[in-house]
Amino acid sequence: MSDTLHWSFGDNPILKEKVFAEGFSAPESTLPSSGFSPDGDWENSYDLVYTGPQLFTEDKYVYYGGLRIGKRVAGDVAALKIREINHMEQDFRSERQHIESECVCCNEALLPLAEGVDWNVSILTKNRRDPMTAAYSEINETGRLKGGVIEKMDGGGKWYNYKKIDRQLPVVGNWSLLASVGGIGGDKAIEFGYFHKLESYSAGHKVRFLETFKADFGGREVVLNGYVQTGPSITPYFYWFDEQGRLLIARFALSALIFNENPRIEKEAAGDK
Amino acid sequence: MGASAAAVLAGGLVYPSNAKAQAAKNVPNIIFIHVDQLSLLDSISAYGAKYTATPAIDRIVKNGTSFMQSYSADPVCCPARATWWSGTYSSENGVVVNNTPCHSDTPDLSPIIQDAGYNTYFTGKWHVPGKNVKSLFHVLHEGSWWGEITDSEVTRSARAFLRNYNDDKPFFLAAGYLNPHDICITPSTEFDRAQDVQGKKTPRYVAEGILTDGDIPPLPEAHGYDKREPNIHIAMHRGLIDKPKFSQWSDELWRMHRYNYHRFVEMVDNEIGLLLDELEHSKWRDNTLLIFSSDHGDGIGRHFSLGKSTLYDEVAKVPFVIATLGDKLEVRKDVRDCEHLVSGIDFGATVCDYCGSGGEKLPHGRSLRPLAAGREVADWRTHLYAESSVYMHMVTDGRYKYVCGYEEDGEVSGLPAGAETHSIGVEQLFDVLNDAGEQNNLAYRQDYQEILEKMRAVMREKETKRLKLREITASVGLEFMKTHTELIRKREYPKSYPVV
Repeated sequence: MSDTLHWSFGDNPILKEKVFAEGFSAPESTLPSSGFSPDGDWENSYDLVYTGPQLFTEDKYVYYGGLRIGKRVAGDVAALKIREINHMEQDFRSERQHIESECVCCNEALLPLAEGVDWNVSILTKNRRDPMTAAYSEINETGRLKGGVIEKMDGGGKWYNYKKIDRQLPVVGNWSLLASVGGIGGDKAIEFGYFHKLESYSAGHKVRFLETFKADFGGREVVLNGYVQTGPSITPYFYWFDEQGRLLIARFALSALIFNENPRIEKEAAGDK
Repeated sequence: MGASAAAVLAGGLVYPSNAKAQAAKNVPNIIFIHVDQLSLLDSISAYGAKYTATPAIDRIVKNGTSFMQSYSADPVCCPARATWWSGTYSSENGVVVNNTPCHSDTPDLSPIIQDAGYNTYFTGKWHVPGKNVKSLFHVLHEGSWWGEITDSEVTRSARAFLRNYNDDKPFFLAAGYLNPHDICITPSTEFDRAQDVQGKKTPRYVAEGILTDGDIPPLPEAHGYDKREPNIHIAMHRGLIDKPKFSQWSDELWRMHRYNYHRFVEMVDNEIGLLLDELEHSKWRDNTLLIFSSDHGDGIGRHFSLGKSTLYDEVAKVPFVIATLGDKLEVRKDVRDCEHLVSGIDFGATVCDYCGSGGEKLPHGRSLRPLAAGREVADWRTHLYAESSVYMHMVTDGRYKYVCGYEEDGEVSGLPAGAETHSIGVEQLFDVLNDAGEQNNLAYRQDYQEILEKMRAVMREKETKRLKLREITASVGLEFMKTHTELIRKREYPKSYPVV
């Protein structure tokens, strides 16, 4: 039985023939089996997969990263906790980047960053092989929203103005989108400023509901609600949530996040130094 | 971290030694920011691009001298990069097409500037076959194939370097970004995603309300082309069994290619902005020179074309900027040099000049330093030479562009092309001053034969000044030459056109 896939995630042979075949469509499907409440506390996890033109079949080239994203609600704010691991190097052999972040968001549509609270992104490359580069393995990005400005801390611990923002529009990180887009209304397009990895900001983004689609993964029918993000510095990004409001698929230009309770890279990266 | 004078052995790998001498006084640190597939045309806001926003590249432009007559030495990834790092043309170093290893005795820029007292570092895309970047530089991050996967890490590693470098020796850091090279993936993705509308592949984005028609740029100027093109060009871009099925492309699909290209330009611009911010707020701000360039451009839909390896301006012309964020270095700011013809071949000589020595070890190239400083240079080149796809050579004087296509006469020997060893095939002559879109090939116009003869003579002169050429024996390059020669012969493309 062939899968039924939407054009936004059915166009790539790696997704069709490997990732879904080994995951959602497999006899031991990796589709989530537990309940989910998007408004409460939760943690979801994903494989980061390559979906470009080179038709890789080896796991190490296809599954090149993993993401865990956790949300905890406390009144009118929600804290996001992120753990991401990515293979590096041309052959994805050894070096891996470990990214950890915590940020406090307003508990409202799109989970925009809360004003006046510092966020931190810690990026550490492990398994470095050239000892002469060991001192350059780590960088920490600390920032905050203050008075209509995104401020960042420089290497010497001083704050500087990174970007002025339109205070009417929310500042939304990529991880907030993954956690929240499924909650926006069916006829609404929301404008926002996009803050990729809490490093790089672009004004003028929109996200809107696209359509409801009945996918079929190995004979399992899954109703998906699709959303699409457009704006500067990205080609259209697609987000597909299940009926409970849990993100199952996010498709970017040449990568995708695919839900997996046990991201493949985590076990391999457990011994990274 | 102190730099070692000796090679470091660790984990079974030998890493390069670093600065081998005391640097000259007051030499700057150098950061070479290079991107992949960024055209000089229609791509940078500061130069008037309408459909993209590039505040970070604009910041480099405002802080430096832009060379507006800047050409790739060979507008394909590996050949262009081999030229940067060796000061040799691809016919000389052997990297005539992608993934063909260079000759083992090809010069290397990194050890030359280490000899001048610099510690040398690299992060991101290298792509010089036959040369191991890890034996030449200390590598902060070895880039992968694509910008979406690599470019953030290029920035992060370069930022970490700027925060933590703590040596009294000057540094040279090359930051090799991939984007907008990700534009190579979207033609096939968009083709597969598109709907069939009256026999043409049409993107769904407007029909499904994802984008408005106004979000997407119009068809580019110079979308058409004069079909009298060199045969290697036709074989690579027009004749390969209708790949990527251009006959089925709707105008909207071409327009979507432009849309995506501009988004990838913005993507890498964001990364460059983060790197510039780090430099701005570091102790290196005032004494660091920035060099910004691209290996080659992209078709962007002009001349009914995508990708690289043509010699049309959208592919052959690339940004080349020398800048500094501070005011200490002698670099003219916010200047557009529209006069001097420059090339990727000049990169090495320019770096050596700023480093204080070593330029004489590179066979070709002129330093752009005096031009960036605004000094008069009396004997600057009057014509610029470039190569592409083994069988196309170009010379331009800034007004006329002459492209010569070469043909194999007998068995393919593997010797790179030139008038002494190959037949001249289809030629192109464009008056780029009056025909900026390169739409009218004047090579077969009676009234342009005198100019054509002059350009041919310049071409011969440039070719004879090349180092002694050797046969390409590596499989990829030789296979390219054989395969394309066979295709050209099989299809019986014309080798010339009547002069009228």
